[in-house]
Amino acid sequence: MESYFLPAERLGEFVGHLAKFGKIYRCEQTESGPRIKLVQEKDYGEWNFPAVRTDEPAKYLFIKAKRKIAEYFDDKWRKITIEEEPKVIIGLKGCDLAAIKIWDKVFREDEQYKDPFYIAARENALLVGADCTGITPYCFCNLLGNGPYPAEGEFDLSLSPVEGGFVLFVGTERGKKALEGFSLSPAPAEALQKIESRRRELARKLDEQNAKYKTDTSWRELVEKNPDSPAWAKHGATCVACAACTYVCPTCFCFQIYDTVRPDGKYERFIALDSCKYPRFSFMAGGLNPRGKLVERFKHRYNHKFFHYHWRYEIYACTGCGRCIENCMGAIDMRETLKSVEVMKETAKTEA
Amino acid sequence: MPETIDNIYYPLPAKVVEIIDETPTIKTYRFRMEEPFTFRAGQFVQLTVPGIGEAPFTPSSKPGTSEELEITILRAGYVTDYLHKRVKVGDVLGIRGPFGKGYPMEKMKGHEVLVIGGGVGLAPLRACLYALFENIDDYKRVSIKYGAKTPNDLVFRYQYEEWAKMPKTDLKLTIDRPYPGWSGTVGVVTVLLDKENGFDVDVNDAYVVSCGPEIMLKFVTYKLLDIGFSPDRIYLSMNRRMSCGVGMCHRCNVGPYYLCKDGPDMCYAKIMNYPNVFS
Repeated sequence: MESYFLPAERLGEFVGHLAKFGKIYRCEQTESGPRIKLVQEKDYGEWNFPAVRTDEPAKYLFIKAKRKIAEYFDDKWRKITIEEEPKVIIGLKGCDLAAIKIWDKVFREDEQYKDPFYIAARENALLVGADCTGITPYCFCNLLGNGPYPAEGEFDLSLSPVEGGFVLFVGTERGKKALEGFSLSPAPAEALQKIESRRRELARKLDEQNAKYKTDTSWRELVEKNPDSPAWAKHGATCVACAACTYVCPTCFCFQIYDTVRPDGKYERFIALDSCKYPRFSFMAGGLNPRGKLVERFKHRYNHKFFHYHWRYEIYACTGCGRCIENCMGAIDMRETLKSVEVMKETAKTEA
Repeated sequence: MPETIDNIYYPLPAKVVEIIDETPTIKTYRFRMEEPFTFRAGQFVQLTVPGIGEAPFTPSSKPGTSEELEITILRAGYVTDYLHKRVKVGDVLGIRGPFGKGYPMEKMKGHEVLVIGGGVGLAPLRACLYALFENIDDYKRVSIKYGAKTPNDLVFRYQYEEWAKMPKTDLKLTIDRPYPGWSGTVGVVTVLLDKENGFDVDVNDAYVVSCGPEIMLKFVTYKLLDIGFSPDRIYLSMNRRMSCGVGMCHRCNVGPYYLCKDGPDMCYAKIMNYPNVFS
């Protein structure tokens, strides 16, 4: 992979160069934690680099909690060209970049149906990844085969902080194009080695942190083969169906379409993010509800992420960012639940 | 480079040209589209009641390409309640679709077809019947079993005579409880699968397509298995709550299958081992 050295003092110039592509959004360490911020030109050169992923997932730059998808019956909305504002998103960690790949499968790469709104947002975003330089107690990307750094194929450009600046990796043709006209010298071998060893060190820390959650059986098999495990009720017991896990999840995308009438008589159609945790998510006219019980909905989220999604696309719809663990008021830990499914399966076997 | 893409969420205008009262709670709406609309038997559409919302229905009219389309609707929830109360001939509603795979018409060729309906569930099956009748030579036989609560709840009554006259076709009806003036079979639709009630379909040859309330589908399935049908011959119209219709919003699944994209008519063999097939 092409790599260059970006001296710290040229950061502002570099960001300014990328700004030709679009508005600059950047993951920054703020007083209230790591957040995604819209950056003004005067601040391009000032980057309070966050060690870990932001509190909010990057998905809200690609969808909105509520978005208009049509006015009917207005032919203008039948086929649409969406002029989405181009964005440069700087500092996306490996988990958020992996999530974009997961969304692509559903909204962009389906052979039959394509979501024009997601595609517009996605294709107008330049993804600039960044290495993690620390981990949170909730991080478990290693359990999903990911690492605390941008994975190849998932970013256009990527920055790894090193002494005196950054190493800039070029991931795609688009990244290369965005860089055109900005000359940099190749990254010194020593810097690349340092990045390698930091990545290894962080991966080791993750391994250590998550060793107790490792399962011998794949998560897909655990979820698919154990729908009746007592672990679901045990760990779902403190779930209050607040849906925080799904809203902070970088991969959760379930939505609902709804219509309204404007005062001028125009009919408008919106998409709003929904959550499988809500009792009425699958509630039908007539009163039937396939997932009326909370424990069924609790299990459903695991099913979707580790079984259904893997069945359809052969990847998990989870990137190990740990936001659902961090934000759960019921103190539910996905890693613990899955480990528990395995342990209880073994216990049942021994007892039998 | 901005690209122009079909908006999968945009409904096409569909004008109501006729409303047929089928039963006190079921009406058939005939729509005229601005341009020809094509669907296969069993595929469904999202019907928009402007400003109120969408609900999924499988058309009950003849599959293929036409400017006209019929949908038979039971008053059951928010959208259908509004539809029944307020929508009149001349109103313009919206249609998105068609979605889903539909009935396995090709697979059933050369075989007997057992059509089992309950209540408004006969609506999607009528599209299937039209398709069967159109190519009746391709099928060994068509056997229709249909049940409703009372004689007044039977839909498409004005067509039974015509169906019964079709070659290689028989139609058996039942109602849930005895009713003044009803001399036919009494009992839920599964009684029509009893030999005593003249059931003579070859369980080793026939394909079954069934649509009705979930509780009916459940007992029909168990009964079919009981009398010797193999799960891979049973197709159930598993209509659940759907919003997008295109496999994105993730609420209509049974196991890993999306009923909107992989159904709504699901082969029982595919879903039988997953939890909550019948809630």
